[in-house]
Amino acid sequence: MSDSSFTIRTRKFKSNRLLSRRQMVVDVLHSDRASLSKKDIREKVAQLYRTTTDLVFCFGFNTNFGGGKSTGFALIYDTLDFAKKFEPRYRLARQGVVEPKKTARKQRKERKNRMKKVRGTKKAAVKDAKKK
Amino acid sequence: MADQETIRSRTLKQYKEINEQLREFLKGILQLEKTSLFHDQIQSNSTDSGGVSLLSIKNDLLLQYLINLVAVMSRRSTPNQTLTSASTRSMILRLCEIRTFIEKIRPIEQKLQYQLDKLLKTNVDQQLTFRANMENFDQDVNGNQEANENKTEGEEEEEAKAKIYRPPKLVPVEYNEDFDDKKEKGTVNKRLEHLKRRAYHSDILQEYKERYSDAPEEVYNSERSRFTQQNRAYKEKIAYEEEYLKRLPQTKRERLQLQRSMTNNGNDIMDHLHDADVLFDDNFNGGKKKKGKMSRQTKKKMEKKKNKSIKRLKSRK
Repeated sequence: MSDSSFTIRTRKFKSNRLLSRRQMVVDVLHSDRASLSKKDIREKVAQLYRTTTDLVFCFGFNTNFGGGKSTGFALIYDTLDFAKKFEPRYRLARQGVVEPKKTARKQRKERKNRMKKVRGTKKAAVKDAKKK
Repeated sequence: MADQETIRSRTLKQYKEINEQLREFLKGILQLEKTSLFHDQIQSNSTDSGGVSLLSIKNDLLLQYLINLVAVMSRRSTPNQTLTSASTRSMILRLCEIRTFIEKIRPIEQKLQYQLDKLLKTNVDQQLTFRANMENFDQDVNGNQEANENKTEGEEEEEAKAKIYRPPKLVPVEYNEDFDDKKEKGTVNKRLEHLKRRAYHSDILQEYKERYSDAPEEVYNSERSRFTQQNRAYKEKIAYEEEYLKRLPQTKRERLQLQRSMTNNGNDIMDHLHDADVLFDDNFNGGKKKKGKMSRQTKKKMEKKKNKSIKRLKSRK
């Protein structure tokens, strides 16, 4: 694999004090390589803005038709606490800050439907009961 | 020669007779005029406020036209009358004026046609709908009156209890025979109609039109072409996404548009040869696939069904 580099340009930079973060549009030029992973982009952005990689959240990357250029968004939080507060759960799960739910979606829904049939404190009994 | 003379004598006789008749007619009219009844009738006719004023104007104009026409005819029929005298010229001028007025009224009358037809219709129907009022009949007979009163009271009570809905008795309307041809035949094939409408604007028919029409060729500027519109829409979407930092999902429409833009929609004639087939085929199938050609999806579905049925058979055994 060639060791070609890629360039990152940021546009529409804005410092969002309400959510205590900096947000921007990221343009990645990668003429020789395939599209980049979010990890690489996070590292580069952190380098550019002199922060740590765990405070940078990247998402929404689309590669232009024909390749060579991708566009996406990046958010840089002031602290990890603010990040945990304001970021949606799935993005935190992507980075490993928060563990995703272990139970399957189907099981959760079935459990909820079982609880619907029962009123009051019996719900707790149904919660732990298994399907017959 | 003798024939001509007999014809002449006959025409002269007829002429004299007609003359006599006309004179008597005039005398009669003059006598009528003197009587007061005639005046009253004229005045009553002139003060009718109920009709359509346009029609009364038209009546007056037509009457004036006829009068003038008869005067011109009389001038012509009398021998040794010059037709270029001032009075005849004025009469002919007046005729032309009245003619133009009548012709100007015609489009106005066309616009009013609906109202007039409605008026006529309702007047005709009213004769049929005038019925005797049955309630008034009951009050005359003494013996039956009380019984009917009680009955009506009882009926009213019943109705108040049950609250039956009695629909209002409206004036009956004439039954019109006109109905849509399409609906007579059966269901309207909407898809077919849509395709036909599109075929009218296909390239092939436009070429024919251009070739055989006298109208000048119109060339439109290409600024508002579909491509620029799509471009603009795309740019707007991107601007929104970058402003709000979120990606919008791709709707079905957008996906199809992208697909269409990627396929080669070249302006070859070969691509558009069969566009106008709808209009000329009698059993147009809508460009559907031939028999035996199943799409991949249907093939998959069929396989699934087959496998299921095989499984069921096996498990039963």
